[in-house]
Amino acid sequence: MAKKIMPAATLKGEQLSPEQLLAIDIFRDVDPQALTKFPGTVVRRTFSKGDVICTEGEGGTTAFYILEGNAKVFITRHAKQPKNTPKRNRLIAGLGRLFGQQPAETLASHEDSYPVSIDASKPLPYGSLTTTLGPEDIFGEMSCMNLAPRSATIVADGDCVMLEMLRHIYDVLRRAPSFREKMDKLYRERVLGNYLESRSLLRGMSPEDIERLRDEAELKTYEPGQVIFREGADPFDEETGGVYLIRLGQVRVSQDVHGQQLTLNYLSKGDYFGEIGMLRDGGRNATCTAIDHTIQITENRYQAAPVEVIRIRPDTFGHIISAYPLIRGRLEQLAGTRITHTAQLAEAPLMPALQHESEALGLAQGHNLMLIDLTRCTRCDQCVDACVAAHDDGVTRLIREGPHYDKYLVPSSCRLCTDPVCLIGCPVGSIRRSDQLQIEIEDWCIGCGVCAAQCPYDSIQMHKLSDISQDLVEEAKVLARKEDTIPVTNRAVVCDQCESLPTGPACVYACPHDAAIRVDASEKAAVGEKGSLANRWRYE
Amino acid sequence: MLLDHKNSRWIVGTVLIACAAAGVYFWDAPRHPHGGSGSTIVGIVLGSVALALMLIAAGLGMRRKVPHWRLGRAQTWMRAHIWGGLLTVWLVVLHSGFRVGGPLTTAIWVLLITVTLSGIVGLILQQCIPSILMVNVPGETIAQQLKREIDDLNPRVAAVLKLMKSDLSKPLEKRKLLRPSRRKTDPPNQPPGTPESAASPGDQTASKPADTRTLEVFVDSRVTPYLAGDSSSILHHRTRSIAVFVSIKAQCSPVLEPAIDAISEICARRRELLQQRRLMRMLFGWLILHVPLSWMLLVMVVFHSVIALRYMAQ
Repeated sequence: MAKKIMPAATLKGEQLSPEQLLAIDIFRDVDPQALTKFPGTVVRRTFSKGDVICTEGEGGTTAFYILEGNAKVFITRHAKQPKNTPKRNRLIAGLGRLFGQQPAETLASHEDSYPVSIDASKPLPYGSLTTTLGPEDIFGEMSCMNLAPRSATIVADGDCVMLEMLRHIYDVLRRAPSFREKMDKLYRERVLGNYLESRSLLRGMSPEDIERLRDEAELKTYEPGQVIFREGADPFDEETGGVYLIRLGQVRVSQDVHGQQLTLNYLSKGDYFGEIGMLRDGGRNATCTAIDHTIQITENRYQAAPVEVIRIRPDTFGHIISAYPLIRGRLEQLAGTRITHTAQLAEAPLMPALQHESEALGLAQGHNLMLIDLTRCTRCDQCVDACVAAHDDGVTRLIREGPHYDKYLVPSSCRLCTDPVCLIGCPVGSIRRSDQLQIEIEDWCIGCGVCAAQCPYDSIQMHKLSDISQDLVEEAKVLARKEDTIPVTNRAVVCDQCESLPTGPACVYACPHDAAIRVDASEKAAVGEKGSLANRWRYE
Repeated sequence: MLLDHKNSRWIVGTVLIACAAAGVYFWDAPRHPHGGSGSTIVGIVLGSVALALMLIAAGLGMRRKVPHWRLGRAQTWMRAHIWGGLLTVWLVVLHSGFRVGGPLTTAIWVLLITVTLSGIVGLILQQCIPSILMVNVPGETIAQQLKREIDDLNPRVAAVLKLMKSDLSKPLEKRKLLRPSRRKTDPPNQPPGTPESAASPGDQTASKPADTRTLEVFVDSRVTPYLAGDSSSILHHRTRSIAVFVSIKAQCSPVLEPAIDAISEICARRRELLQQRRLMRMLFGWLILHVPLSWMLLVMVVFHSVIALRYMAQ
């Protein structure tokens, strides 16, 4: 039977015998013995119209496969992720612009309006954030494999029959050729095609070329820890060359800097990589490694999920960029931006001789580490007030509490880590690193708290939303056909370095005692030398 | 604000302006039958500059309302507030021709001196109290959390007692708080089974009921009232508190030492939080006088300016 740490097989629904399971199409290639090993780990469930199958943000351990009927999928859109725009009336807004205050952004800025990846065989369109799943669709893969929170709310849109399964059965299915073929086909038709069409980078491609790109893409699987390609490798190599799109799992992008691997980013479902090497001379400019969560199944045993990617072969990619100069131009521009920002991250000399304490505090991670000089700080909280004033939601990203280092307080505020582990595990891919290296959390955050739990420095806080639009609540009730539907009420917030403010970080700008400062990793040796500081960032 | 080398330019500028103002005053004063005064051209200019500096000083308070607007760094405003405020006093002295004047101007003088002195006191406090806080209150918490933390101390003691009682009924290896400890006064080869022996690994029995009661009585009579706010308690003083807890340890079984240490730490925490509260009151207390009197001064100075100019125009 299931061990203590793995969920017990107590699924509600009709238990099916191995013979009944083998009669279902997706199980036809499965070894019958594998189905008898753990009875009760797959059940048939029937839902009526309006039944809520799972709710956005709640814990989940199972995947669902739709046998009959349809289900509506949606995530609740909330107030837009606040930027640095405090509430004010028109007069004051005008005065503000006179003094350099930027106008509010109404939407999270994206180069592309790409579909929102969720834990299902179809993405959600960015505009409506809702879609319908039908027979042969599957959802809950990430919950099943990684115990990730549910990425969307799913409601039966009529009578429907589904199989609900635990990880054991899903692992068995993934090894079955017929299931893999079916899922790959679905992925190509629904996800890959949509994704490629929606990318503004590929705007201008003919539908035939999109279809060719989609059909020639190769679906590959990597075990966690396996290197997809190394820095310096040939980007046109037959086995590892080309451009990659992540289908499931995460990929770590790193670069060798002074003999150490510097993590540049964590990419997740829907992200792409490998294009820079295809456009520039020389080998790959970074190492990409498959990573994923491991889950503990006994005290000493862990299980990790493989990472699935789509590879666009070098010859296919070569055809695209030669046939479409505009696309090449866009890719070149994006590659140039990424290279510049990578260089920014890598240019500071790494790892000066650090005291044990600073290593224990993880100060080496901070490329924009906030420090408060306690001999200057009068505890007036102007820094916190400034942070609140600089954001639309009235929530501070800075908490003036934390460990002490020498005469400094290291408060809870995003450090712009060298290795941003907060990016790992988001079920909806709403946390990412911007081109300016800040951590951004997008509008469709479901408030699951995974990123906050991942951050080792408590720099991400879960904020209870209090001003959810009543229209959105009513919309959710209509879609769910339940009066007591409750939308997601929490949202992760993180310091955005006040990127859009001309003054830079508001906390530093507003400190009247010159106590709040931001330093990068290369200055920590100076910080360690009894408080002497050099090259502090200034925002005059 | 910490007065360090970053203020040097401001100090030099203030001194230069003060000297220049004095030079102009003493050059102009002999030209008038009654000497320099506020009604001369120089006097009016000096007064206007003083008023402007007062308005800039008052701007610091307004600047705090919009901390992220692009109005210059807050520390620039703070330096302008400090040095401009001090310069204002000298300019007002020159403007008045070293006279106090009538009731209104006398009141202005009193307010100006009070505001300036309170500001200087605040500035002095800001030089030392932050460092004192850092050293003496290593577990400093956010000011808004002080009351909550203090109120939470009694429940923490109750939790320690509850855990202690729970642990006493469990075998050694399953205890979460109480472990056998060896007193320094115990002989090294104490025979096992001796009631005072604390280091016998096979001891899994509860301590004598009397020891637990002693601790409970102590908590009820001393600790709880102190944590509830009794500042006359002996536990309010660090050295006496240490002595009291040593005494309690001597009266109780060594098995209870971890619990006694935990309660002692909670009492120490209260002392620390109270010290933080005292220091922060000192750090901010002067503002109770400084801010309202500043506004009153500004209003009266504006009134004085209007009346004086109107009188002169007539």
